[in-house]
Amino acid sequence: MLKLENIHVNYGQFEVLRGISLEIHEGEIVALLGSNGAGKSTTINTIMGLTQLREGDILFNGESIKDLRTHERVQKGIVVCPEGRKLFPHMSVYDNLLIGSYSPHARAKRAENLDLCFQLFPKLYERRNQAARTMSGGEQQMCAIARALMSDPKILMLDEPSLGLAPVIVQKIFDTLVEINKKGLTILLVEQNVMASLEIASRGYIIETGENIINGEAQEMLHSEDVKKAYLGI
Amino acid sequence: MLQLYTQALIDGLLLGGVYATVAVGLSLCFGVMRIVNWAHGALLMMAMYLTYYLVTLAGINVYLCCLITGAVMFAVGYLLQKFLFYKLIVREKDREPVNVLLFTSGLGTALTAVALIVFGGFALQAQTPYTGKSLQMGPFIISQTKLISFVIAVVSTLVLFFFVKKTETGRAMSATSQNRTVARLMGIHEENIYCLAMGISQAMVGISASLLISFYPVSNSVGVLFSFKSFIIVVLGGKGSIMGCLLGGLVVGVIEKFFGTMFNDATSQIVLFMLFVLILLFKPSGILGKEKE
Repeated sequence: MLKLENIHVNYGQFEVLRGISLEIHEGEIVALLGSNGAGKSTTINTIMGLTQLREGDILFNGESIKDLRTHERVQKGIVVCPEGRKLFPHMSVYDNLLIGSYSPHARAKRAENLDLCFQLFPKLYERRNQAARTMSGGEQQMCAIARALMSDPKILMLDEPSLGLAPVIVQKIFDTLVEINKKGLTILLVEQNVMASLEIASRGYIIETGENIINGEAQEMLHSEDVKKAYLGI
Repeated sequence: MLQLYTQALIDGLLLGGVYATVAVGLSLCFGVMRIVNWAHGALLMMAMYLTYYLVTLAGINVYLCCLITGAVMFAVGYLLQKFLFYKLIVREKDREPVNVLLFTSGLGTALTAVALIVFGGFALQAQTPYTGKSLQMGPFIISQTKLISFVIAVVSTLVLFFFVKKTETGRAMSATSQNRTVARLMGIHEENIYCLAMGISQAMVGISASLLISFYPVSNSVGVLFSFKSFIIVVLGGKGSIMGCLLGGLVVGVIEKFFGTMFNDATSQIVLFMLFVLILLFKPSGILGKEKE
């Protein structure tokens, strides 16, 4: 469904991505893992067209999207739930969700997706008229995921959804991700939390300083000595 | 004495409503694009000349002119943004549009110079059927032109407020003003929203130009004067806040008339600038402004 072919990205003179390749098939949950500064967020930003691609190609359903602008990529169904939630702080929860469905194709399915979001996250329905900034971290993360779902994604990319949340909340959010994946949504999960991510993913990629290091089946990676040594601190 | 000050209060409020409509466009384009438009007053001046000639030469009703100048200025703002400002913004990596600020300041100066050459240095006062007429309310006199202008101004500002709050495009504008990058991730076409925001900003300038011309003579010095007034109002009310702008406009109008009556116009200008500095120092987000996260 989504394929990165040897992508290179520079910030000025500095090479941030040095030939990342990855592929996500329809219906999968793929985990993109790596430590802080490995280039995970840059990879996401490049898929969304927020950073300039120097070399390589990005294919979505076989079509190159590297020359499309960000909003055109969103209209294709490539949607990201950004790192640190990034809700519109002065808008109500409800307005945040409406903004999520700004694209014409998402607007057409607004009522349907709104039902889905409130069914997944009943808390959001209770708090729909509250300003987004007044909610707890976990609620904000749920709102950010719901806002992304309102964009009617074909592939949903989540950038560090577990960041700064208590383990019990993280578990709840990951359970929800599995639930929406079962409804047919393809997911790219970008995480530092290697263990929890590999548990729900079918495959995983580990990147380091802008390069692919390890990739494979999630279950195998969970038991791989290399992965354990490098990322689980065992 | 009391009667004099009440009269100043009435005049100040009426005038302030129109000031708010002038400033709200500046506030909007600052909020959405972080553009400090130094040509704001000069564009208002051009729109006032346009209304003057529409009224004087074509004999069009001054309040109907709002529609014409509003539409013309919308086009001016939209095109300025599309072909000049946006090109400059895109080139600046960190998106603090310093070049745009310098550019608008140059544009303002150029327009003022052009006005001097084309229209001459003297003030032009449009004669409308309402000019000089007033209503007697007990001991108070209410200028008919100012009252009508005030009503149209406040209604236009409220319409803009509900547009931003309640429509898809308006929501996209306020999303863009809160976080540009995330707004793009929501599928919002940034360039389009910028052009619309500048268009609407200038449409408000066009409307207020027609409202002003019924009682305020236009000359080439009007531009600088209203640029500064608008900056004070925007800072007072809170950068980017529409309701804050309305409040700021009324406050500026009342202070101007109050101190003008008590002392003189120069004193009222000094008081306004002192207030401007104090707000910047002690409450930079303005009266109704939102604190930055």
